[in-house]
Amino acid sequence: VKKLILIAFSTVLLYGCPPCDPVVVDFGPLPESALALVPYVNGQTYRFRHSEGLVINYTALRETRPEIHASRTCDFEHRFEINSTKLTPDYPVYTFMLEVSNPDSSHIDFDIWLRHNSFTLPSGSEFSHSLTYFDSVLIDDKYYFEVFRLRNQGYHFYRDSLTTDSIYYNYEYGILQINMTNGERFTIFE
Amino acid sequence: MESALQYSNKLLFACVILLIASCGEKSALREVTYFFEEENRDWIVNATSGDNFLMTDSFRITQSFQMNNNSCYFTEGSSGILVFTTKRSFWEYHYQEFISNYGISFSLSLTAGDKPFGDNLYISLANTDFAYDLKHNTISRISTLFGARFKIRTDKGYEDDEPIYSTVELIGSLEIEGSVYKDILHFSFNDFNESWTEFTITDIFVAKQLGLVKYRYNNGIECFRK
Repeated sequence: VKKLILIAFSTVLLYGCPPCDPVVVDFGPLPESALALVPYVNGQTYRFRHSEGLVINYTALRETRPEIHASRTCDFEHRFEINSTKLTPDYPVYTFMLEVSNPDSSHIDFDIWLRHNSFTLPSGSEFSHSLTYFDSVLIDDKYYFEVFRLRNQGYHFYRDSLTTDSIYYNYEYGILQINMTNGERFTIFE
Repeated sequence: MESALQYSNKLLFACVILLIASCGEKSALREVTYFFEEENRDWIVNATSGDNFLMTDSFRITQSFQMNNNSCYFTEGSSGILVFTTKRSFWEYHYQEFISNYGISFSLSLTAGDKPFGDNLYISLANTDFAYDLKHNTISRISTLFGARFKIRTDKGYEDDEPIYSTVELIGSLEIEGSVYKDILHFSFNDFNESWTEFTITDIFVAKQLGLVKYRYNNGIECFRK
């Protein structure tokens, strides 16, 4: 009788905990075309000038890491890569974070973070309503081509808070200008 | 028969003790509530969650500090003899936190004091923290990225464990960029100097009801209320 109970109990136990065997989809390494969306080179220094004159040095830390997104129901597991770039200033203002990833086969994700403000850049043909494209933009006597302006869609949730209004970006130089809601600006300084 | 009676008496006694001890938390002989001294309440910033104030630095870069935490309640503690709670205490407490759009955190809290100590004002700005006893006019603790120092609390008051070289000065008024601020607490950081970096905060100025009005970095750059 004891043996029978043990067998029945073991059967229930084993049946109740089926091994997780998801369908694994590996999207592989980020393609070069995706990495080229961000021009910053690991270890290099970039400069931005505040509209009142201070020039701030930013040091780039760029690295690629593997990432796994698994479904809770154990149906699938997506494996992909995230390439992150952190630009750390030598003055207490924004740290810039840029992230490129390939979470599925249909598109590349590309986001810029300035603290809690995020901006999504187009990595294909899709455009959001917060994004404007310019053939060229004049910044400090120099023309930059194929420029995107991304507006901050979140700041109106914060009462009268000073925050980022918009940023200008192109794939050749990266962040060109950051406009604050009070009119102050951080501009690329070559 | 006699030993059985003795045993049941002991058991009964143990049960009674256990019963009293188990509900000791709620049946203290004495309850005491400590409130802020009235003149110290003004150190609490007159603002509500979501309010913000602007500060600008020596290079005219502006930042906004927004309040994201404003909570007040009574903290609770108890003391006793062995398993018996003889005293339950409640201390009035108020905590406020502001974070700037560039991620600099400023917080302030006030805790009611009980004798022989006074109300405790705790101020933190970008990892430079200090506690100031408003009755004894002394810094009771500093806590920074480079280390911490504190005074030992005894029944008779504070005892120096190791000296704290930082100072606090109470100033009647202070002019900043043409505006006059009253009732200022000026904290001057002067510990762990050998570890300081260019952007270690060395001076903090806090005004009653307004909060942070000015601070200074080790490299001389100042940030002041706009």
